[in-house]
Amino acid sequence: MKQDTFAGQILPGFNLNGVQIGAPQVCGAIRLVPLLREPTGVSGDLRLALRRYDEPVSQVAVSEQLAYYAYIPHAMVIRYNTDDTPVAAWGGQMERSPDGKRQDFGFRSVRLLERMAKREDKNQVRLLPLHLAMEGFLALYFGGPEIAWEEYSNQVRRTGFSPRSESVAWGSEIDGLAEALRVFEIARNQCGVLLFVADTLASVFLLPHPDDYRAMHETLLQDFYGDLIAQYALMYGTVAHAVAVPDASTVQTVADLRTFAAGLRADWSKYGKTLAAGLLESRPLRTQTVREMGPFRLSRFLTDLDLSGENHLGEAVTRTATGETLYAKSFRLSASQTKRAFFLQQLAAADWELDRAAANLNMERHDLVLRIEKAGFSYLFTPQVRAAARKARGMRGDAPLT
Amino acid sequence: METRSEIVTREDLLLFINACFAATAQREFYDAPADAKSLHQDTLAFLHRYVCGNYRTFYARTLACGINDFAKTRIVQTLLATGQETTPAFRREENALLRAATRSLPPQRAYKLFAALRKANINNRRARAVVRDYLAARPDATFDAVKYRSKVRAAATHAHLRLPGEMGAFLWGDHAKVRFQTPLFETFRQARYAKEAVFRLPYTVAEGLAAKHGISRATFLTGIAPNMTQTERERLLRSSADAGVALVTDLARMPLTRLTLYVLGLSLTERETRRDELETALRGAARRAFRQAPLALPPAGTIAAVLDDSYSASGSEEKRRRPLAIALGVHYLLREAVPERYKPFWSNGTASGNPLFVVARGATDLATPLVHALETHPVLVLIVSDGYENDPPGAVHALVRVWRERLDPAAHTAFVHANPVFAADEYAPRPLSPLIAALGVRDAETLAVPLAFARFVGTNEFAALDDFLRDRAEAFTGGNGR
Repeated sequence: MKQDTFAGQILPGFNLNGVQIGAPQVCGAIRLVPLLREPTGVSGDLRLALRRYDEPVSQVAVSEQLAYYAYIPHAMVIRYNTDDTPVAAWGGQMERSPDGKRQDFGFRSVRLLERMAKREDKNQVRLLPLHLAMEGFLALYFGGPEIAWEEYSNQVRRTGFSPRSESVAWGSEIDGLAEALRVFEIARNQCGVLLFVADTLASVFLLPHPDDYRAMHETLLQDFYGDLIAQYALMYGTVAHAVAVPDASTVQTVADLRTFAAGLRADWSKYGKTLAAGLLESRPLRTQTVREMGPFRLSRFLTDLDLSGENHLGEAVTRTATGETLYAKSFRLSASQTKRAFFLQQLAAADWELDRAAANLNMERHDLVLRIEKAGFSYLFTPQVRAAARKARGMRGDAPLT
Repeated sequence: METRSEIVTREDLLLFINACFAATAQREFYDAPADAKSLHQDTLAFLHRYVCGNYRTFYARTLACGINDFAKTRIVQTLLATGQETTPAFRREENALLRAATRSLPPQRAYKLFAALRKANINNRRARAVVRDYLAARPDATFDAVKYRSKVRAAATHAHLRLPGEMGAFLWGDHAKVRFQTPLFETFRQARYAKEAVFRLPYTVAEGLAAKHGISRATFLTGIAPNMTQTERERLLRSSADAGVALVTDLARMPLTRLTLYVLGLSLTERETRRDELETALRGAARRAFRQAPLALPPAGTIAAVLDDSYSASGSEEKRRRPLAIALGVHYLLREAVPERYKPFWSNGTASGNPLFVVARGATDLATPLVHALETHPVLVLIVSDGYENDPPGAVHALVRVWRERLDPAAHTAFVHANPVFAADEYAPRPLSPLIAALGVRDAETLAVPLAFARFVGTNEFAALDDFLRDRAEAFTGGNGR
């Protein structure tokens, strides 16, 4: 079973070629930084549209045996042309496309969808936003140890890490996000946004065309974010007031005013980039191609799980030839979510041999057991291993870990 | 040379006057829906109490400064409530100001003020005298009694007035028992049971009675059209068209801001179809406004206007598109005032370049139009914006600073910021820069009044402000205060 769901190409960083970072708008603790594309840089041969579902709950059949239920208020439909011509504008037919079946339970109806990224037509793919990325994250080494070492419990040896769960926060749970989205003024060439809550990057949302962004600006409220983000929104009421201090000595004549104003914009752009350094700086991104769509590629990505920094998860549509990012959406992992993925990765790298993994991490075996247990995988080890680790550290055999 | 207390007084007064121009306790674009109303009410209550308690003379004279009706009613109410704090020397002038102010209010606001007096339990001799004088000075008391029946009755009851003629019987008597001699009263009495009498009453009164008689909307509107006031006709232009009745109204008679609000409420296609009609009406209204309230503009040199048509100029549900309407009104006003010297610079503008098709969209980019304006070496730059600048933030301040320091040390260019939006958490219309005077504006046609206050901001001319207010008060009361 393919265990590492991010085993594809490793990119040197998040590709923002052709995208400029605009000046931020602040509302409470939320800072929204627009991402702009020059009109000449918008080729229009890949477009995204919004498809709203009347039924908020859907059942998504991922494979023959596996399905999940989720709150899915809308999906995105990718349409592309393979011959460099712009995609034709679409009208009302988007709403009428039959997308899965409806099952009526009387008090509620549920939509039955197939797969998270489903090809609907020759040049059309229906995508459930962020589900791809999140599924990749949950499925990371989902099968469990490939070698049945005796440290591992029967449960994990038989069924792997099932059930594997992570928690997310909905946009409506983020305090102040609705108001921030309401008063946000969409700039002229805006194709995307960097969403910061309490000045930490919550999400990158980038679309290929300004009209697509205008249509989807409000959907930011219906997507999900890391639950860390919801906590930050509650903890912080405002963000630091940033003021650009330009250098006035460069202005000698009236003609210099234009460059001066452009310099102000460049300062703000740099500021936005610095705030988003956790993702946008050159950090290796592990990617996995999900689908090839003509000259485009749909993939999911994960940062390199640096425990001391920010980590992000997401999906992107890139132009295969140039690597230019056309669509991207990201999700911020909390520290505990990062730790879980990190330990899974470390165990897998050591072929699931506990002592070797501990040695790779410069840790004692017992410390590693306790840390993995604290990260949330207590069901990975047998009770004997867990008791031995506790006794070795001077605790009682059944002491709870605080 | 100003003393410290004079500086503080001047700043407080200018803050208060700006609030009186711009604030109406209605929700603005950047106010969160939940707490907007209470925030505005608390802020304004504090401001009024503060200025009334500390600078009562100026507070009363503010009534003469062309402030908006909401502020006027507030000031009158506060003055009447705190009558014992008036100094005897100022009493005559204050009474004259109160009389003149209530007379300048539209009748429905005046009666609402009297109802507010009753609610606040304000019933001293002076309050009763104000109500009595107002009712006595009304040109057509019987018309008021019919149109604002309950309000006149409440005011008269509270002020213990004895009303002349049949008014007493009309307001408090039983209509079934007596036949009136006054024609309008008799029509009202008959309208309870006779359909044709309904069409001889004022519009607002007739509307309810028509619903009672089951008269269809179309028939009603056609019949009542001669009895509608100009404002009512303008207000019903759209809904009467939906009902199938074409109300004839002369757009050229509408005041400038009301006309721009109407134009902005039309769709782009409709503005295109009626383009010439709307243009002529707007230019006529602007010319009229300029004649009535001439702007004190510099006599020579370019006059540049930086106009904000970003998304925040779309206002809120209570004040739909008002900031954009005021910007558009100022544009037309300046175009008629100084046609050869005026240059507009919109933050987004329209693709065709014609401001008639302006729409509130996009981020607030004031840097680009300001740079273009400064390149024409203007003698006055008037910025009409709500003060929330974000593309990039702080650009106006940086540009003005660099202009003043490096390119125009002699200060040939004057900068004025006209702000139609009141930011309740800042107690004032939000300023763009400490170097630019931020003035609240009520509407485009009264731009001259806030502009007159611009010269007191940042200067040390307290005595001049004092004289200015005294002169305005004297003109307002017709010299009765002395």
